[in-house]
Amino acid sequence: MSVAAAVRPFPRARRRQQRWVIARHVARSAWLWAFVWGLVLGLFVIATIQAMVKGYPTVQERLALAKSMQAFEILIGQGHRLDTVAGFTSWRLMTTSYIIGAIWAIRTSCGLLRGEEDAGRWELLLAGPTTPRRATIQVLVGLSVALLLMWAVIALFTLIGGRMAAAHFGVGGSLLESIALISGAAMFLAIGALASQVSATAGQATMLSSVVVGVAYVVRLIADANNSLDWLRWVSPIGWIEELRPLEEPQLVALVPMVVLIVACCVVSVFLAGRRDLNASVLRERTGSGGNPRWLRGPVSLTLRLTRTSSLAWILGTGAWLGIVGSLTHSATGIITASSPAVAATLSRLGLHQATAGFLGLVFLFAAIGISLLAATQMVSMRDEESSGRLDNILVRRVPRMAWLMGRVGVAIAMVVIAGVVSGLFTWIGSANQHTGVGPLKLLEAGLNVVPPGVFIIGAGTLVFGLRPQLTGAAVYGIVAWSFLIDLLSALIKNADWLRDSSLLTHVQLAPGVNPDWGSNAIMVLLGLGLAGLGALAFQRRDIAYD
Amino acid sequence: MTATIRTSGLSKRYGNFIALHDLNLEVQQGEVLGYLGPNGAGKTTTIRLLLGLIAPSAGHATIFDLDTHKAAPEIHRHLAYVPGEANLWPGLTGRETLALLGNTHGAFDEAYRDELIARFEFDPSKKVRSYSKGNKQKLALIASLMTRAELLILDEPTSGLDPLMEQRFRESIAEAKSNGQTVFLSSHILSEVEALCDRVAILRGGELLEIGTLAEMRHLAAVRVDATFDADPPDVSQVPGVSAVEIQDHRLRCQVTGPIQPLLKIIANSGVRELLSSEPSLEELFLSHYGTHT
Repeated sequence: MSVAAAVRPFPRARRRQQRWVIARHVARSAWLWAFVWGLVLGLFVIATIQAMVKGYPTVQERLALAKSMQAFEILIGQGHRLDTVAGFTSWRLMTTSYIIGAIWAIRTSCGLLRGEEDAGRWELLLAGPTTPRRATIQVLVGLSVALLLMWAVIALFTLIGGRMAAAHFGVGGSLLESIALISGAAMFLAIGALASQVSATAGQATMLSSVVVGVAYVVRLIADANNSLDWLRWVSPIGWIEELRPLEEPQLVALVPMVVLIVACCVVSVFLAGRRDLNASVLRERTGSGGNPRWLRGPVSLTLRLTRTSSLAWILGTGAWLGIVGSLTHSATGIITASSPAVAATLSRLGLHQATAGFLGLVFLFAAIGISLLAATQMVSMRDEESSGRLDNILVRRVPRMAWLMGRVGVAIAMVVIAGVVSGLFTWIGSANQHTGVGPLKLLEAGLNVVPPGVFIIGAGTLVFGLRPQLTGAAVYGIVAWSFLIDLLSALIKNADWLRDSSLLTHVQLAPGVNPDWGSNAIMVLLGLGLAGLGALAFQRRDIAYD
Repeated sequence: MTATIRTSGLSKRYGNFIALHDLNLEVQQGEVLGYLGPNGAGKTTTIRLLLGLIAPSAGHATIFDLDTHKAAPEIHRHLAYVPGEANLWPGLTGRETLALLGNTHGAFDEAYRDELIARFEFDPSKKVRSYSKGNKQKLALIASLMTRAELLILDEPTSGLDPLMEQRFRESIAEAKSNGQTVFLSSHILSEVEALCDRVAILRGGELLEIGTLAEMRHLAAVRVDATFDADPPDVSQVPGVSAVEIQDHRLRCQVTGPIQPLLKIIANSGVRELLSSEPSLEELFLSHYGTHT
């Protein structure tokens, strides 16, 4: 008797219901953060429109604003018709949207594809009535559903914002703007999916995708810094987003390479998923001795060994970005000087009276966000040691809990301090031949000035880890996201000081444009250390819990 | 003899759920104690309490007369633990893992480590990520045994090992026992417990049901009797201690708890042709406990 004859088939309706089970599972896993980030970007659209309309009501003021903003095109990207609400909104949201989109997309697609495979859950799904290719298609469909939700939320807010007085986006423009705002997420979801197929681990896939983001950003940056290299924008996914100009002079042709990239990455991902063995990869993970094992003497050396690659990548990536931006200081300053006195007025609102130092001050604000994220990832990694059960192996030996925790926290603080020093050093190296007039000590000081938010996040993360370990990731990323959001919305909440003060970035002086406030920095560091101490006491008393 | 492990009223509660209730237990120095129970019985909770990873809701436990929660690092200098599922660092090699776990323990016997690597046919040069479940378990076993700790706490230590490696594990535990090491062995493999353990503790629903040597448990448990007669079997249902009576033609099968003489007297006077009696295996003891309480 054949198998088909021997097995009683399920009713047709039941089979249809189960056909998209993986896609539904993926959509369920990804929708929440897609919704949250869609909400954040949607609110940012409204805030930017409000800020432009209320802050710059006359044509003269908007023209002055547009002129002053040219200096920041190197950092943010090229703008078009910045004297209009539409042009300014589109330009101001561009960078934020693709940075948030890329982070969400890479974490989500690498986690739900290669991460599931690493954890052994992928083989459980493949043991069902499916194939690797069909399962991969389902993951991509599930991710698309989450992306669609993000787009719908942003579109809703953009349509509402577009109907405000003086905005006049129009329905078509609003929808195109929403597409532009999710285009970074869409492209990096696809890139993450491809990286998951060629990489040996989820970590390697994340690293590879992040390198693509970095390269795309640098290519765009070089293109915007030099008029003769304009064409370079067309070889960078970030450049395509810039070329789309959704609300002013839209270039729909820029959608073509985006669609081609997404389709190509998805098709190749599905193809590779079918060709390779489970847990195999195109790129090999480095095997061999793994270094001198005698060096692994305890929890501190273990932490250094486990986090060395990601921390180095983070520190050097931030440093390299600052070095490149530093090397373009002269171009930026030239624009600032040329657009004076409008620029001077804008910068003086931020307390920045010297154009070059002011520009570098804003650059270091971005570094503060990067260093805060480094601190947050260190805390998440600490929690992962416990939730995975690996911490048991250490604590059942002669290592006291406090020693382990203090080792982790100490390494995390050391990493953010090193990141701050490297930021100052690389900016100095990059700007060395730019005649900025800002010396190495000033830049080193500016680098150290962005460390305190990182220390505070480590302290707050340790406290949450001690009290409610399951919430560690949400807490630390929540603080970074909240600080970033409040900073973005600062134009709307001028009169709510308590709300502005709740952002860590509010307390970061824009050094070297202005002198760091070491008193405020010391308070933030002491608060961080105090919270870490309380967290350590709580950790000492609680049960060790794994997932 | 001195007690290496001693628990008194040890309990653990998670909200309304009682994971372990009023555990009173002693494990003597040099003894191998088998700790049995179905899934969710509280075996791992007991072990995590003994290791000081979680705090008791009531009662207390001591190892080497030190409180397991307050003096965990001191106790851990003298014990080694093998988890049921070896969660190790995927990016480290086997050799790095052994170095790390050996160094964090404080001291280990390098020559014995190499002997164990050979005994378990383990290749330490690969990354943990590439090891099978069985190889990860071998790594955890070697890391613990190489310390030659006074107390070994083993939670399902042979899960994932093939029969040959399981045999090597038994040899290693026998070695440990002959060296005077104390072993607390939680296991589902009853033949393993039967072969290795001096005493057995049976846990169910967070409570200790039974503890003793296998001989003691068998004495308390029902003996199976299977008798064949020349004519119809006698009615034994009213005999004290007799249960589960089955009659088929000239064959009688039953169980008897307590003194067997009254039953033997009736059987002997009824023209018995063939008589078989057997003590319960550990598996039957185990199942009879769960059968009784379900």
